[in-house]
Amino acid sequence: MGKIKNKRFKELIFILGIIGPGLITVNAGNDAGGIATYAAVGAHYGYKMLWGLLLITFSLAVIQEMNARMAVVTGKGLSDLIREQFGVKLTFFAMVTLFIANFGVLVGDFAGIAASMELFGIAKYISVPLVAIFTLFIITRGNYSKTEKVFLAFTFVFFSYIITCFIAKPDWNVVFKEMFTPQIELNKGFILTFIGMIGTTITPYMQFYLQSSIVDKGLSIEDYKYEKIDVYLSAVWGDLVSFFIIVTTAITLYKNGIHIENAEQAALALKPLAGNYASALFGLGLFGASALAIAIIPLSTTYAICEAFGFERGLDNEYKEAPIFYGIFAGMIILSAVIVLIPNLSLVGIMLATQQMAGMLSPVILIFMVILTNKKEVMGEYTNSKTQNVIIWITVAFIVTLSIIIFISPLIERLV
Amino acid sequence: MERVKGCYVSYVLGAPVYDTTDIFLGKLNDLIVTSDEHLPSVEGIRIKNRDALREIAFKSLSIFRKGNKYKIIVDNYFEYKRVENYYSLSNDILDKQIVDINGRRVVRVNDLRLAEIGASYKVVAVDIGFRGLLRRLGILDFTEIILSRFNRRLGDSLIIWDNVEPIKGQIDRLTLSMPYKKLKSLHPADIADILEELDAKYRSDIFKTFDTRLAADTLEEFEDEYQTDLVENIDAALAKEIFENMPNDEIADILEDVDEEHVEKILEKMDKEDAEEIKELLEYEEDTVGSIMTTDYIAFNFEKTVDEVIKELRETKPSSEIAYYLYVVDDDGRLLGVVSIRDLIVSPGDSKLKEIMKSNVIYVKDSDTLDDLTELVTKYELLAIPVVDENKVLVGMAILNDIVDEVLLPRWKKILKRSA
Repeated sequence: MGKIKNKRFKELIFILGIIGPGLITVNAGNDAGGIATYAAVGAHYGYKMLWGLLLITFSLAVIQEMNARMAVVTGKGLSDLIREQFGVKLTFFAMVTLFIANFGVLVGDFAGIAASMELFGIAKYISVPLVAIFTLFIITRGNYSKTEKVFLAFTFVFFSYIITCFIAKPDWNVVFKEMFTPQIELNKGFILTFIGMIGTTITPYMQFYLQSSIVDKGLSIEDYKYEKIDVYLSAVWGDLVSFFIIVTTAITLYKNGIHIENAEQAALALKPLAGNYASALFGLGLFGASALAIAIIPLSTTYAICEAFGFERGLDNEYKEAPIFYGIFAGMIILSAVIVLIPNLSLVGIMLATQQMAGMLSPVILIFMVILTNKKEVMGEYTNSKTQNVIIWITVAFIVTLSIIIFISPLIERLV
Repeated sequence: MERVKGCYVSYVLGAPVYDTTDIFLGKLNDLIVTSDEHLPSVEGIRIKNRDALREIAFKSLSIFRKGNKYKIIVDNYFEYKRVENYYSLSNDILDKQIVDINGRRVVRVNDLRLAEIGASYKVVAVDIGFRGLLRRLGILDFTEIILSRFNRRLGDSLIIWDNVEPIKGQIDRLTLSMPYKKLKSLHPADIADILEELDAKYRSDIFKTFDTRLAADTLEEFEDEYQTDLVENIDAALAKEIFENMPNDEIADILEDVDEEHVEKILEKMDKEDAEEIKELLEYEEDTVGSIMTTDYIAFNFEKTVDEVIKELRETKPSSEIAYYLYVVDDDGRLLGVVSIRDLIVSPGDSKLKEIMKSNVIYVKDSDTLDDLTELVTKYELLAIPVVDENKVLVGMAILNDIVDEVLLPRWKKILKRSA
């Protein structure tokens, strides 16, 4: 106080203070599964899915804006609203969906830890249990916010994709042309990867996390115009990073026909920039992104569930006071670590599959959100506009259709 | 069929409703209760018949059960006209947050217990537990059978209605004669604990209904981040009124993290002298004595007599906290000495302060660190210590209470957390 004299500077600080929830949420979406998915999109299908990314960016912006609006208008978290408006049974359904999706993503992130440490020659039987124990300790006992910053710093490694992309010199004309030409291959691999790309960009987890962090910040309707900038900018920014990952892997890996089956192959895309250090650089970033998500995801899951059902929650409580809170939290971490330790698992396979699962589950949460944001008794005069509803329903219908295609395709193959 | 004296709301929601001549009226959609009485009593019901909803009142209502099937029979029913103090259980209470006054926490209503008292069914308890949740989900029996195999039982978590204060709806729909009476009767520290658990919006809505005295006391008890939040969410005029009930050092503490434009607006509205003081307090660096000192202290000129001083004290009636010591200053406000209330009482009325004061007074500088301060206070076992600026002009005092609250407690918490 009293030190910030310049008025314009002050205003900037104020805006920066509001901006953040959206940006952090989108960045957190670029976790191990996200990186693996985007890298696979580029490496396996070149530029063919860029148009999808462009469309998802619109959907993401609309969805995040809905979250922000709900948060400032109601001052409540998403799970609160679902419980109060839809009753126990549907809440239970939503929470099971959230739990499964998040649990999957968490497994993917432990796979990310395993894969990144293997790049440094450390076996997963050492790295995974260590990270699990460390996370449990740091969240419950230690100073989490400082640790978080360290891991966040690690993830900046992925900005190297932007530099790499320019070093690798893609033909921008082709890139932009492909970006505006929708293409679909009607085979399982393509559709699954596509759903995975949606699933890692629009995750069920993000909807809960973003809304809670805006509520926690105590933003009100007056701050809404700034928060809108935050969510729109971060949707563009987050997907811009994804865009560069896809283009980089397309130009380096797809061109050479390299399929991503392990982390080393995924790291190859960074070779133009980092040369022989590519795998070290990639490993560091992957480790940071995974470690960050391993802490945030179980925590936000258990918060959402306990909030919805009224269980005692919060890290201020002793274990005895909040057994369900700590139980879910520790259970998720331990169980997912154990799953990753199963021998002979394809780590990249896990990372991709869990994002695909999240993608298939995200419409469930989205439907809850659209109904909520259209309810007058919840949103008052701030209900959805027609355009917003159209965009969101198209997104939902699109993902649902793709998921149905995946499920019935084996049947059709058998019948034909 | 057997008539039941009590049951859970979840059992009867959706149950068929008949009149006494066994004509089917519809399915129970909601129960309407009045809040006039001590316990909410069921006055009307909403029934659903082929998608059409209507509300009826009745002369008497009976709940019957056979095995797991429930059935409701109403006698002498008529169209229900809602009056002022009503709410519906499923719509307004079930699934909402409520304050458990005795447990001092916020919980969710999983189910409600009805019991027949006198001539009507009343809400007697709220189920906030796991059993209620499973019952609502329709898997309670199943779960209990499984658990009984392992010789385990689920405990009930009911809280009696007396200890409950609904939050939702209270502001817009439920108008009790004294809103939040129960909540307000708690200690401000407990109120703050409860409010901290609530949604941000409820928190500030409820906070705004407090009178300024209670608002001030509660605000002091909040954790820092909630203080900032609340102050930013109330308008400057209300903030000013609340702050009139608080010492300036507390206000400065709270304003430290509040958005600067908002601070300016509040200060503009405040008394000029107070505003100046708060501004000065805000300028102090975080780890200095100045940042935690209070500017409410008692000082007298060294030429004053004991009688004059006592007379003045009777008029100004200072709070006990700041009357531990009376400081003696010269014409330029420089600290000369200290007298205690005891010294005043035992001395002759016409003696001057400079004659009875202790002149080897222990003091700190406003720019000294908090570590220096704690060391002095503990070494000399002081209740309060005067604070001077670089010219030895008295600018405030640091009180043991504040030192414990703002320096020692946070440190202990950190240490405890680390060693736990």
